[in-house]
Amino acid sequence: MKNNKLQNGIGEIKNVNLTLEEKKRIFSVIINSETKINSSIKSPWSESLFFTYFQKNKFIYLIIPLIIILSGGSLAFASEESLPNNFLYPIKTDVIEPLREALTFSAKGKALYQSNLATKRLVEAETLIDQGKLDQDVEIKINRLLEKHIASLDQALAKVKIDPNDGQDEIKTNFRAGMKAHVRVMKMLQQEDKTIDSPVIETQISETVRKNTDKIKENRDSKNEDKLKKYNQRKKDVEALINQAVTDINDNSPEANQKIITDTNQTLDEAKNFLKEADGYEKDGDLEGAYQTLLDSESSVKEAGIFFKAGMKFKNKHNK
Amino acid sequence: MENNFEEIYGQESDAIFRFCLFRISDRDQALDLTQETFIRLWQSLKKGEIIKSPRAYLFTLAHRLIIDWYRKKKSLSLESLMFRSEDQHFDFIDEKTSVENLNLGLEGRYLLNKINELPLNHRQPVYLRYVEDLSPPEIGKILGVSANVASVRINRGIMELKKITGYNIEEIYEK
Repeated sequence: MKNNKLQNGIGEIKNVNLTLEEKKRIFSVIINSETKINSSIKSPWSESLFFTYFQKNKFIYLIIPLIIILSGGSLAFASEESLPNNFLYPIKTDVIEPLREALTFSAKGKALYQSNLATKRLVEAETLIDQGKLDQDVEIKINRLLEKHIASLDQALAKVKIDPNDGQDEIKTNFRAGMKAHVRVMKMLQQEDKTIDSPVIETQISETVRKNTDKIKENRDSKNEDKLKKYNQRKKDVEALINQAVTDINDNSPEANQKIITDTNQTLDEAKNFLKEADGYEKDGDLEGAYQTLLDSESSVKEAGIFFKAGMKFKNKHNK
Repeated sequence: MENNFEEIYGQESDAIFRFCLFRISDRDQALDLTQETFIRLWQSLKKGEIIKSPRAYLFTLAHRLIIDWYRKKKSLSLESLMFRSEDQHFDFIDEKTSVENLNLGLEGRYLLNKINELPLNHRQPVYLRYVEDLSPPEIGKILGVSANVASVRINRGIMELKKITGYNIEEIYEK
């Protein structure tokens, strides 16, 4: 009897639908909505430009390391801070960074390096948004690199798994926190940019981050008994991180703007709640659920810290 | 591509609309959010993106739009800052859902009321699992938690729902 009621209840809920008219109207609005298509207009000068030649002819990259060595690394140094709209940028991303990766031999080191590069791409996007220079072409360029770094990180992490004392969770929580925090900073900067009309902005970059942070997170090796034993130690670390973040916010609150404080506090609240939830699982003897939720808490508190620092950096720059 | 989109729209628009409507209890706003969700899908398809699981993708978009909607709606009052208690952590997105204005039968209304009585982090996993038939990994992706955590939340939510309704939900689902 009770089960019939339940089935009827679910059936009634499922009967709540759009009317035929609503369905047709919404469909028509969607199909006629404007779509931002990523097609750029080719410059009439592109064939004769030196840098187009530079980009199209891959063999030139064999010569570049030689030039770098001959120039005593000054070009490498100069390209380090270059942004995607700068002519030195291909040297950084196509030569210097792959060379550095090739010189990193451990899987953990490679994973860490790729995670840092992914974060670096987001910081570059942030800087360009701040300067009002992030156009669609540059965004596509950054997004491609970001996807490449994430794919390489995924591959490296698969190899790290073999070693039980790998610190894999550390890399993953740092990656997740960094990605999410920087995307939020990007959105915050975009919303401040009055040239952009839409209040909710889903860029290609934020889409890539959203899809892939989940993917990297799903890869967690949750059956490792050693990790479960480390639950208590990790919990202390997370609590310390939360306390540190609260102190940082309080110390800097007179200079920070209200939006940054509110957003950071919201993420900290999420972290505290995940911690509370993890405690509940631990008390019920569900150590697996507890550990996973603890990692969510760790990721959230790190995200809060990174978001606060990055947000403050741009605010201070604007204030000056 | 338009045919593909039309097929997805035909299959999923009602579920997405329901999901929005039950969480914000406002038909007009739910229509807007449904429209916005499908516009995003349409734009992604037009850009040539390959979406492996449109269903999970749509629910994820709708979930995020609902959170955005609540965040924009909520104003930071002095009172809420002064009387913020420890237990309010998850309530920064305090979903005030009401089923009273929805066109539902008695049993549907009762069930939805009981689901809404569950803790916030168990509410969505239970709804998505047992009303919309989504799998724990899909629910995890939608809510931004791992499949394991989603699974734990579903089970805990179900235990709670069984307690407050007396329904044998697992048995029904197995059939």
